[in-house]
Amino acid sequence: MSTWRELWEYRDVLVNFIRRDLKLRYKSSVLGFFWSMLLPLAQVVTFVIIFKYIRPLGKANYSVFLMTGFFPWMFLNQAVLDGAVSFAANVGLLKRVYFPRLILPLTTLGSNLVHFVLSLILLCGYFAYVRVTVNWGYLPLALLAIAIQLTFMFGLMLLVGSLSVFYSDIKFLLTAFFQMWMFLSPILYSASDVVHTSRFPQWIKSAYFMNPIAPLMMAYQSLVPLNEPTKALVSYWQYLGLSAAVAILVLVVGYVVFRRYEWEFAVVG
Amino acid sequence: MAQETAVLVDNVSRRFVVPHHRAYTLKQALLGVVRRRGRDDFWALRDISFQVPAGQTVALIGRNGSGKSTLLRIVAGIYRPTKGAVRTRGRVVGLLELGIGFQPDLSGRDNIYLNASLFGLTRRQVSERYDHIVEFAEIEDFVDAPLRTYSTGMAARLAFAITTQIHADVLLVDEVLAVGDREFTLKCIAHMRKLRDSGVTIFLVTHELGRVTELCSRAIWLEHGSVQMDGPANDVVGAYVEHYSAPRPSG
Repeated sequence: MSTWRELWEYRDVLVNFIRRDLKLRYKSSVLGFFWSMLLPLAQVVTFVIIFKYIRPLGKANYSVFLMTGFFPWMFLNQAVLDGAVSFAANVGLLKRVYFPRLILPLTTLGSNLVHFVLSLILLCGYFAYVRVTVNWGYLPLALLAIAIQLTFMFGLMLLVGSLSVFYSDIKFLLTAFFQMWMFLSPILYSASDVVHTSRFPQWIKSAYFMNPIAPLMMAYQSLVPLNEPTKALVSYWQYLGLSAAVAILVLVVGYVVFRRYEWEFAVVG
Repeated sequence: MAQETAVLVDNVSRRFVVPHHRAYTLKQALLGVVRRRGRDDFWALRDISFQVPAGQTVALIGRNGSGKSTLLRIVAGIYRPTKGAVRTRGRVVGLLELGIGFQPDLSGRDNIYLNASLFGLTRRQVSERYDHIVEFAEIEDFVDAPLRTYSTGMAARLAFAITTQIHADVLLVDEVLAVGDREFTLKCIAHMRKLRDSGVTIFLVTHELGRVTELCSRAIWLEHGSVQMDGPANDVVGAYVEHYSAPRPSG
């Protein structure tokens, strides 16, 4: 039976797993969603205090700009960290019952995607509250960026999830790595600041934008009026193309590694 | 009457690799590149071949470590054979443990849907059988309470009630089903007998030899990963009992 047909046959397991994850995360209550947003919102408030008041970046609509990049980043961060243990934490289940192993990372991606969409609704509410209109012209670009991000994320999840079964410190390393990655991506500040700075030679700037998530964040942030970082970078489309290529490469590598080791998951643990 | 083959186990061998030092972390793996690491191969099953016609009830017997559970997991699709192949016909459901995937913090209702889907029931099928499961488990007043508030007995009844609704052509049952009080065990056996009589092919791993002759028409005796004897349940159990009650040859 082909992998995809088998996945379709097991779709109810996937749906039930996603519901389980969300219910556990929100403790089966609507308030639970807001509760789970507390930590990211506390971070947003902190960054706003720093970069709007203490050390102003001089950006219009800073809080909206920040959230537009920060929420998709949190989505990536959380899903990949959860994905790192999607097999390792379920070895007991894998030993006792058969279902396609791909269900586990798909569950993690699915439940985090639902959470992300809910957080976007919250973000839309905030846009309305501060009376900032969305730059709808950039919506197609933002959707393209989301597609690239999902591809990249799922590849990363397969890769680190498979390796974590054998090496238990991967999640720890990832946490440290993600911390650096966030600050070195245009999330808290605008990419145009990097383009315009005279402190970096050109090659460092090029290296900076080769970060596959940099062009994605810039696409999201362009939805905020007066913030169009994509315009500041001359070769933006080349970097976006590179990001898409890296995303596909990571997905292929992740899938190959997953396929190579999937039958060891139930044995190793 | 030509019988269809429900399970074909064709020359199956399974090796497990037991490394002398296993790197549990990336750090250890990186530090350990220069150190030469040995490994042992352990063959849990060697050249197992047999076929089971549809509707037959087969017991797998043997001492701990003889490879029974490994074989059951290979037929269930949880492990892959190192050599050889397994072919099955129809829906194969492994019942290796009760209450697989149970979440203490979720309600009884949520756990019914979750657990049943792992046994291959669709959401619609579960909805249709939901009342029956709740009634059978005698938890009507508690379906919306978190599972962690259930007594052990209630949780076990719920787990078993779900398994009674499984639809399978080939059912693989591990001995874990024998846990529980006598009444519970009797209920399980009665249910297995019902399944057997309705034509379900059953594989049963057990240490209870009395149950083997009671339920099964055929038994396969595994010894150190190989088939020692395969035949009518009475004969195989008789030989097995004799083998282990006879004084062992010293040496």
